[in-house]
Amino acid sequence: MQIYLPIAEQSLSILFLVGLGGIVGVLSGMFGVGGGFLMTPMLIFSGIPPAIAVATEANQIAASSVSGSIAQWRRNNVDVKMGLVLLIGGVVGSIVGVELVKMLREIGQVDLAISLCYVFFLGIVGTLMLIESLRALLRTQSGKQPPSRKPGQHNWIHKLPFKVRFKRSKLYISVIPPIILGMLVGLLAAIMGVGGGFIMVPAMIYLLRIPTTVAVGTSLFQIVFVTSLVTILHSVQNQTVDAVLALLLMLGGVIGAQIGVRLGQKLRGEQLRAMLAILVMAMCVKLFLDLVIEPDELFSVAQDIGGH
Amino acid sequence: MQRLIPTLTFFAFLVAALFGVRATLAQGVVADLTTHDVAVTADFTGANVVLFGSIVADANEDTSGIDVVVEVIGPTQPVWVRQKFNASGIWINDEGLQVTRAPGYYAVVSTRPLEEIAPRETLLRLGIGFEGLKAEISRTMLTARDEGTQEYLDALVRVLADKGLYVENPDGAEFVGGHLFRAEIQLATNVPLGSYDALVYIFKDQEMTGQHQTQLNIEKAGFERFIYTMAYEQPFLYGVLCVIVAGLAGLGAAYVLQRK
Repeated sequence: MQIYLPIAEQSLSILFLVGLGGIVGVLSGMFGVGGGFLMTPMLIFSGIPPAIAVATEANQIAASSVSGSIAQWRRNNVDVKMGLVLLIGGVVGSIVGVELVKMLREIGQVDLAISLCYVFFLGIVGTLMLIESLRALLRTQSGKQPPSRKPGQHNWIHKLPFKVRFKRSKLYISVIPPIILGMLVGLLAAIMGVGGGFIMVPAMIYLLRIPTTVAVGTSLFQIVFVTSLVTILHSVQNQTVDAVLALLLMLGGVIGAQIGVRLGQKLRGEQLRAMLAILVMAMCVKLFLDLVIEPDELFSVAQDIGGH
Repeated sequence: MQRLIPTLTFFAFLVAALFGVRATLAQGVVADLTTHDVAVTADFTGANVVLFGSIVADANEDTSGIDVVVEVIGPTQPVWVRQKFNASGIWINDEGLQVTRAPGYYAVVSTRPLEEIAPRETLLRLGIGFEGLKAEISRTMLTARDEGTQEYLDALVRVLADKGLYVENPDGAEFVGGHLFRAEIQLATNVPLGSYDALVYIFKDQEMTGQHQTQLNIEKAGFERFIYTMAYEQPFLYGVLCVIVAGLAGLGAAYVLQRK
């Protein structure tokens, strides 16, 4: 059955959209990733204009991060103070990001910018995941233990001013790195329609040295607010949030995530991770090829949205 | 008084001459759409709009040599036409051509191919057909490119025709008997919303002899209309509602998860 999407102004199959939400939900449930960096390219491949895919996906991530952060909150994994500091940067980053999207739309380069961002980040994430999972596979085959991490060292981050104590993270560090990190992630949320967990969590763990569980919980906590803000900002500045599309994706996502969590407990992690890495790389390559192969139709027609 | 008579006679001749000319040139035509309002709802997959019309003439006058052309023109909007060029390996949009008034939808259906119905100059002047449409668009353009403007206009029509938004159908209109004719216009899923003009032209022996105009409205209805109107007229409230819905969906999911 087809449904007309009022903002994207096209009809797509309900089953397809709920299914897409479901599949990405399964993957995100299995691997504990947000799914935005999988969903947005999929929507673009389905013919949704990239700017609408990005803004709508931010809305969907708001939903999935709410349910995720409630679970994290119950386990006391949220450092609220750290979350708020990240959010200061996140607000600035989202505002700048949404303005940037509006500007790029006016000069007709937003599709290119979104694709380039995805090729870059999917390439990095995919490569890192592939290396990581191959190493893990080799380790399990040779039966060696993973090398233990070195204890927290003092790096350049500890020389910065404006230090604040974060009790839950057991840290006493400058607020500058979290604010900059928040800004970067806010920017990515606005331009790419991702939660940014794939950057935020590793940065929190390796750069700020926040305990892993707290990093995951706090990241989800601030994603709720950043993606909510991005949704509202895109609605106001670009009118690119398709509520019907978002709702269908949420429906599929919620169901899919439940299945994913259960599947993830049964299946072997390393192989799954390698599969996800291959999927990410495949999407990266597809987006890249779309940029470099000469299109059949060189011309495009876009509504003039400048000069309001 | 005596001087008035020749003057009056002259006027009488003039009026008679004018009406006489009109009587031979103008073909009375009446036409109407079977529906004036198309509602775009959640299950909208396009629509067919049917126009019926009749030439007003003596019952025994035959319709050979008479052609019907029906145009359906959607709301105009400013658009950018951009061409991709290869910038060190990556295909990116150029600065493009700004078109001030391009209809979001344009369909022309006729009883025969347009070039058989009327000379090219007539079609260009009346803005009928894809060629006429391009002429019409370039007449209203405020800016032009140094070169290749025509190429961009060709591309505009080609791209929108590929999307099913510009349609040229030389079999879409037909006489169904006597002076009664029928035209069918297909609206694709992606038709823009707003007020449409339906124009009927009657051609006889390569000359435009009659014209009739009517309106068509394409509006979103029900839930779709609510969403669309709100997104554009109350964007802040719309954004907030989207966030609330997301929050509720997330809470619902968390609740279900906890129970299991």
